[in-house]
Formats: sequence, C-alpha cells, structure tokens
Amino acid sequence: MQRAHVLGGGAIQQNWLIDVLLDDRLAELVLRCDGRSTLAVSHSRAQEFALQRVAHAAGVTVAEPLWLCEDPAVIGAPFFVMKRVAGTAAAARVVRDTLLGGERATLAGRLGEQLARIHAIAPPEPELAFLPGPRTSPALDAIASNRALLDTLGAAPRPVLEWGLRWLERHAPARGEIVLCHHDFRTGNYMLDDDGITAILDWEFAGWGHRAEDLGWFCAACWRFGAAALEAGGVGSRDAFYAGYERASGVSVDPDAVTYWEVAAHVRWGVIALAQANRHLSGGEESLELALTSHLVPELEFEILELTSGEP
Amino acid sequence: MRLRPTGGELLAAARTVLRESLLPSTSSEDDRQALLAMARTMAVVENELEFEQPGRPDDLERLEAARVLLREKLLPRLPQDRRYDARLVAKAMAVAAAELRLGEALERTELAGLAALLDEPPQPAADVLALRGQVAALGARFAGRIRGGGFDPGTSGHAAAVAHLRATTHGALAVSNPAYLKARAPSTAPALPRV
Repeated sequence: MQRAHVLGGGAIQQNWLIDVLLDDRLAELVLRCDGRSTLAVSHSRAQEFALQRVAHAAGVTVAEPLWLCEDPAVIGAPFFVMKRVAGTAAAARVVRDTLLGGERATLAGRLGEQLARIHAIAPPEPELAFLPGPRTSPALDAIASNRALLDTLGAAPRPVLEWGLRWLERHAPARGEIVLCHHDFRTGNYMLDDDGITAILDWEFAGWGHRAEDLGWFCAACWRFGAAALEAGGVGSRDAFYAGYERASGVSVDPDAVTYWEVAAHVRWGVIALAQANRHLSGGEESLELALTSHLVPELEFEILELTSGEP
Repeated sequence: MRLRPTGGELLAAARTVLRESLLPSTSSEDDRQALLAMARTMAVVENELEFEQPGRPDDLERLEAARVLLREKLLPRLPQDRRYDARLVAKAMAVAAAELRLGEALERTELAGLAALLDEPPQPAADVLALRGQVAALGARFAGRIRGGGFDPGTSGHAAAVAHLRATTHGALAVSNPAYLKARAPSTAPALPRV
C-alpha cells in the first residue's frame, strides 16, 4: 500500500482512496466500509458489492467492483474495493456547471439509458437472491412502509403527508412487471467528468420494484436543485430523458405512472426528512443541518397538493 | 414527540455552530465582534420564543439585520469550508424570525379550520402552549380520518379539507421558505414585511 486517504461525508459508509502496488503496477482504488452508524434499511457492504457487480455486468456505468472482504478481523469492518473513477457528483455543481458531463443537450438522454440498463436486470438473479421480493405490489409496499415510519415518529400529525399517502392508496397501480430499481437515482448520485457520466453511485437502497419508481424519483420537483424548468433532475428535459430510456429499454414510458411515483417521491422524501429531524429532536444527534431538514417538508407538501389536486 | 424544532431550538443550535465553527475561523477582530453581537441578538430572540412572548419589533429588526450582515458581509470572508455552516445559521435566523412574526396567528387559523372540519365547537386557547396542544390533538384526528378515507372525493368534507390543507401549507411555507412560495404560487403568497 502506497497511500490511503479518507474521503469526507458518509456517517453510514466510509470511502477511502487507496493507492496500492499490484505486480509492480500502481493501482488507484477506492475502499468502502461501514462507518460509525449503520442504517437498518440500507444494504450491507457484501450486498452492495453484489449489486454493483451485477450492474457492471449489465453494462451500467459504475466503478468496477474488484474484491470483497467480509472478515471484520482484517480492517475492523467488512469492506470492498473498487476501481477509482474521477468526476464530480455534487448536485449544485452538476446543475450549475453546464461544462460538466459532455454535451449537455444529450446528458438527460444518456441518464435515461443508464436507468434502462439497470431496469434490464430482473428476477430471478442468483447473485441478488438476498433482495426481498415485493410483498404485495411496489406501490402498496411503499405506502405501508411510509405509514409505519410516520407512526414511529410520534404524535405530531402531518395531514398533507397522510393526504398524499391516501391518494397513493386510491390510485395504486397493480403489481406489474418487476425489475431492479436503484431507488435513489437522482442528480447528486451520479458522477460526471468533462466528457460524460463516469459512475452511477449509491446502490444502498436498490431493490426489486416498478420501473416508473426510478423515473418518478429522478424527475420529482424536489430533486432539481434550483433548475425547476429542467424537469429531468435539473439537467435536461423530460422528453430527452424519456427518449433515452425508451431507446435503450424498448419500453415506452407511461407518463401517468411516472406522475404517480412523483407523488410517492415527495411523500417518501418528506417522511425521511422528518425522520432525520427527529434524530436531532430526540437528542441522539444534535445538528443544525438535521434540525433544518424538517423545514424542507412544507415544499414537499406543496408539491404533493399540486400533483394530486387535478384528479378525483 | 414533536416533529418540528421550534424557532428557539433552531436558534440555539445555530448559536452552537456560530461558536464552534464560524468564530474560530474568523481572523479579523471586527468580524469576531460582529459574530458575538449576532449571538447575543439570537439569544434574546431565543428567549422570547421560548417564553412565548410576542417578538418585540426591535429584536426582529436586529435579527434580520444580523442575518443580512452574515450573508452579505461576513460569509464571503469566511474560509470556503465554513460557508455552508454560515448558510445554515442564516437559514435558522430567517425561520426563527418568521415564526416569531407569524407563528401564533397561523396556529390560531389552523385550529379554527380543524375545528370546523371535525365539527368541533371552536376552542379558544388560553395561551400559545395550549393552542399548540389543541392543534396537535385535532390535527392527529384529522390525519387519522384522512388515512381512513373520511375525506375522500365524494365525501361532504372533501372540498373543505383540500382548502384547509392548501392554506396551512402556504402558512408553513411562509415560515420555512417564503421564496419558494413566491416562486411557486406568486398570487397566493402573503406579502411579507420587509425589514
């Protein structure tokens, strides 16, 4: 080992830049291991490694995963090593700096293609046998888990989130075709260099679901980082994003299904934001940033009411 | 458990950040004094919020002036890696000021709306704490009935429920992010006093 350097961020996971000599050749790698706190809903490093391997094999642009070590005796926690990829993921920069990511007019389409490749992975997939199948349908599962999380937070009511959940229940689509969903595919979770997309990041919430889940999450108003008019993640038009997706998947996008999952996206992010603020309130973790997270929720509630008002 | 930190708690957390992150990275003595004065103003408003006193216009004005000073003068002179913290502090000051200005009136309106939706007699609240308790109690019943389908389309209360949810969301945005309200719903955004 020639050099090791920890990267910022990630209370849940830690990333280390490492330079190692392999057969006298210098290899620039990243080591990913558990941080000081773990989140019950996120995958283990071994599972993340498997997801990244399957995605890589399916032609998704990810850092190539190399080795997994599950023995905590080696460095103190399970870890895996992947090739190092250069680029920037910071959402504010990605949206503002239009020189990033190569030809901007085609970026949304290329992101749509990436998503289509992820969705080409379908069960049964032996390497992903650890992923639970949807119990009822992706939509009803999401409603149940969001209600359960809201209820654990305590008594203070959020009528608009309940309104959104009830709307989702009344409009829930049937189970439909099940594919691998990234479940956090949005601006901020892919890396760009000057020429294009260098990696799709953060596989810790991936699981079986409905393809429109990821399309809605990517396009939701809450993930445009100030560029509201660019409906595809603040980086391009919805049409270009859908076109790239359709070209690569051969499946046409159902705009109503995407709208449904945009409502679900705002509800899910609202519930998570309250859970984060709760970590501050319940005294476990005093943080101004976490405390301010609850003040994002009215924006999400506004969008929920806008999206659900036109329909019976 | 409460789901939203009050303005007073936000200011308390913001003062910690100011003391532990901003102050040590300020080299100019003038800027240090400005930050210390800012912390004192925040402490005064924190007290008013904590003891449910109406905010004195002077204090609100000082808080707003301090926020502008932080964003426009002090922030650009801070090292790059502290500017995010400074933005968080400024945001907490903005939310606390809006809560002091609007909070109680918004909660009284919300309570009246909830009572009407749930066919409850109007409940005059003795003080802000009682008001908050009543909003929470009726709000929980309202939320439970929404979940059970009691305000679905076709029910008699549906239209009134939509109107109530819109009004309370606009009110919450006026505290949490007035700029968002102005951008998304310019015609309905309440005119905010400029300090």
